[in-house]
Amino acid sequence: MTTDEGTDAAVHDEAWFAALFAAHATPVHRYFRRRLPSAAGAVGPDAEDLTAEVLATAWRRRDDVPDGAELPWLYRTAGFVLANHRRKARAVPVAELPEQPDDGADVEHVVVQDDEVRRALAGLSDRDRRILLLHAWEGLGGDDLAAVLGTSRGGADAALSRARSRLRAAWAEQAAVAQEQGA
Amino acid sequence: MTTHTPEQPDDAALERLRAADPAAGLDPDTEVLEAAVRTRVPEAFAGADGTTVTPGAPASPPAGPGAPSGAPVDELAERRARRRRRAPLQVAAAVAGVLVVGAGGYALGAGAVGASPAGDTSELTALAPIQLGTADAPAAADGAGTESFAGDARSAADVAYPGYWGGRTVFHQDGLPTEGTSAAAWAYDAAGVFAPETLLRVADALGVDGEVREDYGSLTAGSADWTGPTVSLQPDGLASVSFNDPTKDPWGCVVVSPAPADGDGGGESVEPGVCEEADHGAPPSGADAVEQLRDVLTTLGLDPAGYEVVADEQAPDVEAPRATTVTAHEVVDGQRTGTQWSATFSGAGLASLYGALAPRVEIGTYDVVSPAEAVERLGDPRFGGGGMIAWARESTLEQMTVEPEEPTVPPTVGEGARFAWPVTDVTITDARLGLAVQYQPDGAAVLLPAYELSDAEGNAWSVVAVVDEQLDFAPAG
Repeated sequence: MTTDEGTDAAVHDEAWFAALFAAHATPVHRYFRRRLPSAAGAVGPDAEDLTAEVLATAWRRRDDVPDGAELPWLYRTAGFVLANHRRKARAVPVAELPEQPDDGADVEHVVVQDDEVRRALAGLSDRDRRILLLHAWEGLGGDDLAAVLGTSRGGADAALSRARSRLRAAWAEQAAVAQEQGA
Repeated sequence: MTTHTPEQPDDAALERLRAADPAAGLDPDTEVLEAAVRTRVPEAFAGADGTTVTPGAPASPPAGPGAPSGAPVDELAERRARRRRRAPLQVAAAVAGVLVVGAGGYALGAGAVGASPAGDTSELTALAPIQLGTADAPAAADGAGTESFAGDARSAADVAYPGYWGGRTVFHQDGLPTEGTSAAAWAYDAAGVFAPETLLRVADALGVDGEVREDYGSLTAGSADWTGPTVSLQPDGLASVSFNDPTKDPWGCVVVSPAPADGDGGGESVEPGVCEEADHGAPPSGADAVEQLRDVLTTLGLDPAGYEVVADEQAPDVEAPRATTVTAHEVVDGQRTGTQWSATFSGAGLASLYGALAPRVEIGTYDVVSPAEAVERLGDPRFGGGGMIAWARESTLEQMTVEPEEPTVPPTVGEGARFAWPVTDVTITDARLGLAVQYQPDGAAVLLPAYELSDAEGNAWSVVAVVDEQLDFAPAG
């Protein structure tokens, strides 16, 4: 019954960090690319810097990074870094979406080319949007999604289920409106 | 790590959303990334025997002018130069020229973060001002079981639906009072409670151990790896609290020991990947949960009499419910403000809790426009097209889901025809003066008088009620 913590827990040293980088730098970078407005020329450098910020934080707080759940921890940190960046980057004119304080992460100013999808998303709450993107784009669900949101597994499942039905409702409503006008 | 939620088949909307992923197949330049990380935490790359561990990069050291293992800034500039010479395969590379390398640091392009010294990213201090919110929280919308504690509002105002809410709509009123009145307003005193001492008190009340640590401006106590309860306090306008106890999670999995052939974990041999849900027993009844949430509010120093506490209905198809959800709606003058606390109980007790801790303080009695004037505000760009939101009652929405007919080609518009330019005309027939949560540009939260204006069909719009003279229209920032 005794657990030998020394052998089971990985030591979070430079080699651990190199592996973390190799495995997760790309997904974290994509997370930012999806959520930064493509104002002229600013997307690439911004996403790289924010990604580097997240990874640097992973090193500084390496003792806190849970083994086996590194990527959710990184995504969660990325959410904070992104919110912070948006509050400071006021030179970039963002769309008139409300910036209301949420549980640590802000509105997703999503980069969506598909106009219909963007309109459907725009009608949802910040929280629903955030959950849907983490699910649809980062592929998170279950425990991973709960870890990124900072809630319980059941809470995350329920929240995702509700967000998905609201998306379906918004989608159907949009299709009906379009049909009505086309008639 | 794609984990699809089981039981629910994917639907068209979700599939389109997936397909709209703007970063699909995009890969970063890992060398540039690595250099950016190295600039911040060079010590993360030094190996024990002095050799450099380079994650994700080719084995050969960078060849170029200057010392290869010199200052990180040189290395960075070198890598950037090399990247530009390469064929731009990614979108990012095509706009590479924008970046400027600051003195010893890393300055961004447009939207620059304050320049920081190399390798040192100071902790977040005060929040920068936020743009004025465009949506007023609903004056008294049905909670509808939303998880957000700030009263989420449907922000349809930013969507240019031609002819539908917020797009091309004109408003008239019919028989509404034309006399103004006055009403009280409140501020939420988040600054007065946001402190490590507060979090300690809350943690104590909820049974969370551990010291208070700071995490990007918010205060957190408890477990750092989701094995035990945690509670955090956000530096936002409502001093939001969020508490989560995985050990009481209604849907938590029994932790399976990772070591093979170890039959100690719970006495059962469970295959890895199978979630054996912990059995906490039956959750409390709705009435019990309501009482328990009232008790929790009291231990947190809040007055339960100021809240309307309601248990969520159980889904009808669930035979053995594992959780009971309860919401405490803040009530002022008989109306819900939109600020709330929500709790989830399992058979083991309180599993999660989210809410606004900032107390309400009255900040005066304000003059309020008449309902007739409020309707005029709906057409006023200072208040409309962003300062108001529209939502339809449930019944109206149902009428919208019509079976689409088979599409046919539209007839060609004739010569000299008048172009259709649909404008919706709404007649407001009813006005109710209530309260709405509003966020100031710096994030401070207030509760101010607002009108709920509705038409004969039951559609409703909201607009702030405070008179012009007591509003400050100065542009933000």
